[in-house]
Amino acid sequence: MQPGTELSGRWSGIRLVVEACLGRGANGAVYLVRTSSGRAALKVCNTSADAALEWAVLTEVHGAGVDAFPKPIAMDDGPTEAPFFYVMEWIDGISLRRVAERGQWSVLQAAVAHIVETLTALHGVGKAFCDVKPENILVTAPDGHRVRFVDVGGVTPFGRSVRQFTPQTDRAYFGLGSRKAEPAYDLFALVLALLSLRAGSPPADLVAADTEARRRWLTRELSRFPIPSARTVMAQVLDGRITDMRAFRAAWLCLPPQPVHRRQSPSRKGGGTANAVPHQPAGPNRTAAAPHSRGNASARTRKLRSSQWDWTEWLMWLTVASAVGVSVVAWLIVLQ
Amino acid sequence: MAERPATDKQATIRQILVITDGFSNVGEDPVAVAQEARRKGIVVNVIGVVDGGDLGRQGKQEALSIADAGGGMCRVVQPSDLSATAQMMTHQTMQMTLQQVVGRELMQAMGKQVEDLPPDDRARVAQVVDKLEDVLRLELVAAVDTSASMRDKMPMVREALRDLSLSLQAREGTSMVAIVRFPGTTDDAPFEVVSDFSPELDLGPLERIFVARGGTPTGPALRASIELFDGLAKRARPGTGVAGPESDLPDLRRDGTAP
Repeated sequence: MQPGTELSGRWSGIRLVVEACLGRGANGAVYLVRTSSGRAALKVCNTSADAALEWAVLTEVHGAGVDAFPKPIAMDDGPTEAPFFYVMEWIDGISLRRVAERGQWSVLQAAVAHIVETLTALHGVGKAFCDVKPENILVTAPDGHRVRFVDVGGVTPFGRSVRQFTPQTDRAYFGLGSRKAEPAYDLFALVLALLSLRAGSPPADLVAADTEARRRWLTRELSRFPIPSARTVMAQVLDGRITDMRAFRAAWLCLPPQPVHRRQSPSRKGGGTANAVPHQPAGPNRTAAAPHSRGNASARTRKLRSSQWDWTEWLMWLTVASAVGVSVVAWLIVLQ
Repeated sequence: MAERPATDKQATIRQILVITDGFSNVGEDPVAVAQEARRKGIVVNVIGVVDGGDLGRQGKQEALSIADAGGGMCRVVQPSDLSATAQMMTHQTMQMTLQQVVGRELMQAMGKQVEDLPPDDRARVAQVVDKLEDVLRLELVAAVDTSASMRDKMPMVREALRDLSLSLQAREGTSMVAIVRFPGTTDDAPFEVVSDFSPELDLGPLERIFVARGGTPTGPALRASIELFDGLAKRARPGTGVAGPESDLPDLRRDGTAP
């Protein structure tokens, strides 16, 4: 569908204007659309069953209080260009892949702890993501302290077989476990996804290779992972010494902060401080992450927010002061 | 996963997956056999695997016709996409079969198609189908072309089958997989059963399977696959004279759409 295409839903009457295509996958395409209540993401599916199932999972997960995935807005049928679709919250963020491409390994290191937390929340309602890959994870805070997931299509109740997977993040492909949906499947996938940030897709000849050769490739890639201190923790997951999310998170948070990378992508003209986000332990004090000067758009939003806060704080003190002043005057009058 | 015998009560999905790189030139017409399979409630999927080049018009046409007659899907792919395609097809045709059953029930009960339901009801139906897909018993025969031209593609085929069996083992329901190769090892054998139905794919015979030589008897291989299903049904219910998948599963696929 071209930008500017207008469509409306048969059941709910929802009206949408297509702004851009955000991506295409095996079972449909995602568009950025404008609705009467703002921007949203539109998923157009090839079959009514695909749309219905994804919608069911999205509403179920959201209903259970997990806000990792986009908030569901409406499911409907449209004209022939979009016969079966659903509308959900549009998440404005940077994919983990882009974060790595920009060389922001410190942001990445911080994001991983939050990915683990977000996955743990999903596991809390008995479901595994089963499609943990860099493209499906959006970092929505510039310092990496908030992440969201997109593409609910893989989410599977524990105990069932994994419905859709990508070889490079599938532990069974490497002969490292089953293809059953369980927390450990997601943990493996997370580590494999991190490895794929540098390695990309496994080379084509690996498709015909046995699992032994695939694991050798994995070991080689692990030794080249750009955060040296993280390699040990990742290796522990791959060889089965760390099997649960909590243990992984604890080990990950113990990693020393990632040193500042001087390497900058050409589009970024900020000084050396651009990547100087120290690794903050995720926890109650994570909001205390000092607002560093950063050159990208989201950082600007953040700065804007902090100046707004300053303004309201100033107003609050003014109000308090004037209230005190008024009371003092009132008491003076009463006492006279 | 322990093998449970198939009983009349347990609905079973039956599929044949043909992996080939050409068109048949030995024995009976594979399209006719595929049609017969479909009548027995067995879906036939075909993957045409090409290496850089093309399957050829004739090969492509035949692959399409077999899948069409067998009520399944057909895809022509590069060897590297074999694994993903095999899984996608197995998954999608299972869903298709179930949707047909659910659709028919719905039509009988309410006179409606699934698409006529409001979105929320449709979402519930989709969840039921999704659950059924994982818990139902699946019987799958992979019929692999081992003629001379397949030689280079064999490592991919082997890994694709290994990978498919990993997915099937993860299912909640029982999955039974058998492998037939065509042609067979001896000169006069058009096919050979490499491994009969088993809950776990035995990878041993899979290593030996790949001794490529001439001729592509797709029809006889499909016939052999159907007989494997018959044999499995007979073993499950010894004593009862009635065998064959058709008596096993009156619900699935025996709808008006079958020829």
